[in-house]
Amino acid sequence: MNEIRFWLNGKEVHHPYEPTKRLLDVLRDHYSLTGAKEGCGEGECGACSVLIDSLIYPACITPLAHVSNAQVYTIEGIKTLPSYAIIEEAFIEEGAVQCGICTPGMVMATLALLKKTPHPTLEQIKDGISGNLCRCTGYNMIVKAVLRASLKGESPW
Amino acid sequence: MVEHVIARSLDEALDCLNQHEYTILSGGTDHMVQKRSWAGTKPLFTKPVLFLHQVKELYGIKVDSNVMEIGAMTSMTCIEEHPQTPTILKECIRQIASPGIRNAATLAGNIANASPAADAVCVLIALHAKVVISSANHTYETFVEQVITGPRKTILKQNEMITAIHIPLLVPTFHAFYKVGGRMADAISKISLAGFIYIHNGKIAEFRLCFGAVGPKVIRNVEQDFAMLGKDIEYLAMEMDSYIDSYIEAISPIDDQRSTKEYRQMVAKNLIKKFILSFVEATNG
Ligand SMILES: Cc1cc2nc3c(=O)[nH]c(=O)nc-3n(C[C@H](O)[C@H](O)[C@H](O)COP(=O)(O)OP(=O)(O)OC[C@H]3O[C@@H](n4cnc5c(N)ncnc54)[C@H](O)[C@@H]3O)c2cc1C
Ligand code: FES
Ligand code: FES
Repeated sequence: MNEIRFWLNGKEVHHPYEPTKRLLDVLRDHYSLTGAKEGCGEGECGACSVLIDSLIYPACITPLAHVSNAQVYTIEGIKTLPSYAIIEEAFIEEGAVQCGICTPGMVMATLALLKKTPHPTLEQIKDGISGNLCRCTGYNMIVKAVLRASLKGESPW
Repeated sequence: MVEHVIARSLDEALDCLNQHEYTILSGGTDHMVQKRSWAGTKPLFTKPVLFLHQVKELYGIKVDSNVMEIGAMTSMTCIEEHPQTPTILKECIRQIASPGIRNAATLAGNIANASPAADAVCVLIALHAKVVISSANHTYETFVEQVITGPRKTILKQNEMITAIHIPLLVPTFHAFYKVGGRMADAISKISLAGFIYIHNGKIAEFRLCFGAVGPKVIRNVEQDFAMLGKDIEYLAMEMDSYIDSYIEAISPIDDQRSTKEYRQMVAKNLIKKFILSFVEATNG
């Protein structure tokens, strides 16, 4: 057992056996995927959000062991999806991006939410992004953007 | 130097524990934060880590003769989504952290971490839940409140782990989970209350209050609760104030960095009052 195998943005990778390493560090330092950011480093801000087998997780407290044999998607990997284009457009139209540091995480949270709940209520949207902090927008624009994306998009996400 | 192990089966995990000292990792949402180091460096685990993430036997929910068995690795998200999960536990999980944390966090971790502010522990105790503890040589069951002995302290031995949680599915006549904290999605409770009442033939047959974050561990005052058994609802409404006073005295809230003793006493009183009044209102209305 001298490596950990997983699929990163659709490609199979074999990473050295470093099971306690934080997924966030592996993504940023080893694979140069810097879309996931380190905000708090303790699971509270969501800037590091990634999808593992279609579910959202904070990569800063996910040990590499937890992605063994799993599908990992970062913001770079979902950029080519049609659902990404819908979310991007909705974020632009609602002015939901200011400084942008929270945005990759917000987009991942939006996608994770819409995958599970294609037509969310306001409450469900708020819960869906409840793990993501934004210091700029005051959240209203982001909530509106998620709602707009849900109205534009067709499931399956 | 013993290596970190990603166990592939329950037997392998129990074997490891029998041979060496390991730190068990379930969801990692407590432990990865507690052992956190600088960005780019590995978390500071002092013992080798035993990862349970790939142990298939530890996932899933089964219901058998009115007891729900939840595998130790089942995420809070899955538990919240299960149709037979008691409503009070669902309500509690929805108030824990955010979707990303709930996708990883487990009940076993919430219990074994033994934080006085653990929200699910509070509800599990009110539900009379039991913990299944296994080692390579034996398996036994015990109540959640018996597992936790103090802040970050449990009865778990070095070769033991939690493999499942058992929840009796008695549907309460009335229940509530109240959590008082700062920001919802990542608030550590300043104080929380899980309440469970079961009425049989007009009399109180079960009365369970459980407080989180008032003292060194999640606490239920069994004596006070027992005093309610066999009484009717009018009695409860009438005796509420004296009951609350003796209850608060018995659980003696503490001062710490998140809150003062006075604040906790006041809020604990108000929460019990709110719980009892809501119950009386619900049954009379
Ligand atoms: C941002 C954030 C917000 C949070 N909000 C809340 C909240 O609102 N309410 C709340 O109660 N908690 C909260 N938590 C704490 C945490 O998510 C929970 O306590 C969770 O249930 C821990 O489960 P885990 O599987 O992640 O535990 P882990 O971190 O994997 O383990 C915790 C401890 O339990 C031990 N352990 C784990 N599994 C077993 C087992 N099967 N047998 C024996 N020992 C075991 C580990 O060795 C460790 O000591 C939050 C955490 C974060 C990061
Ligand atoms: S950096 Fe991971 S949640 Fe803040
Ligand atoms: S846009 Fe600046 S933090 Fe959200």
